[in-house]
Amino acid sequence: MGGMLIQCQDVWKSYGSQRALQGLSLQLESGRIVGLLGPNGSGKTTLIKILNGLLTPDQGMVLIDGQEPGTYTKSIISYLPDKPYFAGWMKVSDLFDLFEDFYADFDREKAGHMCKALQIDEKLRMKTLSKGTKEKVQLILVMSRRAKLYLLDEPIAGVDPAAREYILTTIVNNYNPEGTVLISTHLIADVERVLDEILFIRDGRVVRQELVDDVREREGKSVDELFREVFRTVPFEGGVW
Amino acid sequence: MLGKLIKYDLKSMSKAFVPMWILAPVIALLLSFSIRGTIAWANSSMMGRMMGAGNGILMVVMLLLFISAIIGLFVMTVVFVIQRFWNGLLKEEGYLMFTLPVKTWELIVSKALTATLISCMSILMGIFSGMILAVFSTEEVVRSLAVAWKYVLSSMIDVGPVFWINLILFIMLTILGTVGSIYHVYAAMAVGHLFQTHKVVGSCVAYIAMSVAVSIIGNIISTVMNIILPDNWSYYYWVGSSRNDAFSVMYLLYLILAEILQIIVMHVITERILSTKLNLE
Repeated sequence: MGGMLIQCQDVWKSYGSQRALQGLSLQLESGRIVGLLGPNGSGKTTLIKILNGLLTPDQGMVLIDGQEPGTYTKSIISYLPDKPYFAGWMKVSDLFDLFEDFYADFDREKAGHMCKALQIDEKLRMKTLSKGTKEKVQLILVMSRRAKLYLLDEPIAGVDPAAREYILTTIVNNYNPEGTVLISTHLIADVERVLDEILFIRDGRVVRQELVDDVREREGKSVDELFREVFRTVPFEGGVW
Repeated sequence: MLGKLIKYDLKSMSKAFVPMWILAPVIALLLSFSIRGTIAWANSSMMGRMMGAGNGILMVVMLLLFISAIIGLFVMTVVFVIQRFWNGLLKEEGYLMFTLPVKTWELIVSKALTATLISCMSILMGIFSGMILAVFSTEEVVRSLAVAWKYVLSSMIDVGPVFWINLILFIMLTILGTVGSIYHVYAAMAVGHLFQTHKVVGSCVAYIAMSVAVSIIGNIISTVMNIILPDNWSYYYWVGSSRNDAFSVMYLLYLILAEILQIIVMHVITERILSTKLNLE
């Protein structure tokens, strides 16, 4: 068990009568880019929110770098949520100040460079920015940290293919190579080229966890093909992989 | 980390409040001048009285503006206290706040302290605006205020230390009362947050239920006190008597203690719920 960055053991979570996670277990090592792949409503966002402490599991064990979600784990996780979380009054530079104040691993200079490269004016207020620009600011904040774990919830869902390419390149070029990036998405073909490892999740359980190279070598398929196959032909595989 | 959180909360709240704090006294000043003008015109010639009628309309408009500014200030304070907690912690902005490497109690205390500061400041600015209105509107008010002030000054020499202790305790009680009301709302929202749906309704119900609980407990305590203490041991009985000094201090201390206890209980409820049952869906 030692040396694992993420350990989840039999994690359950429901929203009222609706079950989101049903005994999910997984282990992830450091230094990988991992795709958290599954259809809509399979529990991807729930898992990410449990890892960063925004949701409390009903049952089960969650450890990040050996500790339960708390102040320490929050200091090593860089989280990109599936919707913007800014207060409208803040300027881009206010957000940079905030991140600099609270996260020791935030690289202000890098954030400034990325802003310039994207032609975003740091003096602008968040509420005046377009949806796309807000997402870019959020990505800059998240990728300017030298985190141990990046949790990216649907980073490419709402954007056009050209922007997808840009976002993925930004992630690959800027993440801390000693850390792990967990990207949740259902747009597999787009992310496939950057992934080292895949986690297939369905009905709140991990149904398959494999290295991408193994998938290609052993099965002779792309991840996209495997995904279509798994989620079309295998309705249920139990809680193990 | 608490200091940094307070810095950001203050920044976010002051954006909206500073203009209101400036606006209310300015309107009070304008109103007092228009009152002055109306009175001056009314005391002059026939022509002046006609002009005064026009000025009177201006005065009514200024008065309405002043009343709306004061009401607006207080409504805004209440709405902001609620909204900064609800939107700032329990909605999307909560994603940011709850993923910062800080303890939950720090998030709550930061919000509570900022809200208290804003509330006290709004109350002070309300009083200040009223004073401006009084001082600048007519000579009579100014004169009677001067007389009253002289009386206050002369009587202060006689009041002795107990008066000052009472005054300080009373101010403390007012501030703690404000903190208590804020925490009461926070705890209600935290409980409402536990509801799967209808979180707002849940918060309102929780608020009412907590108010009832607090008043029942308060009644039980005072009933018990009445039984234990002798019949004539009542605050009102002693007011004006020579023995009221010690009693009034004790009574205020008791109220302060009760308020502190209430704040602690409400804080613990809020903190425990947000620490162990947080669900930002």
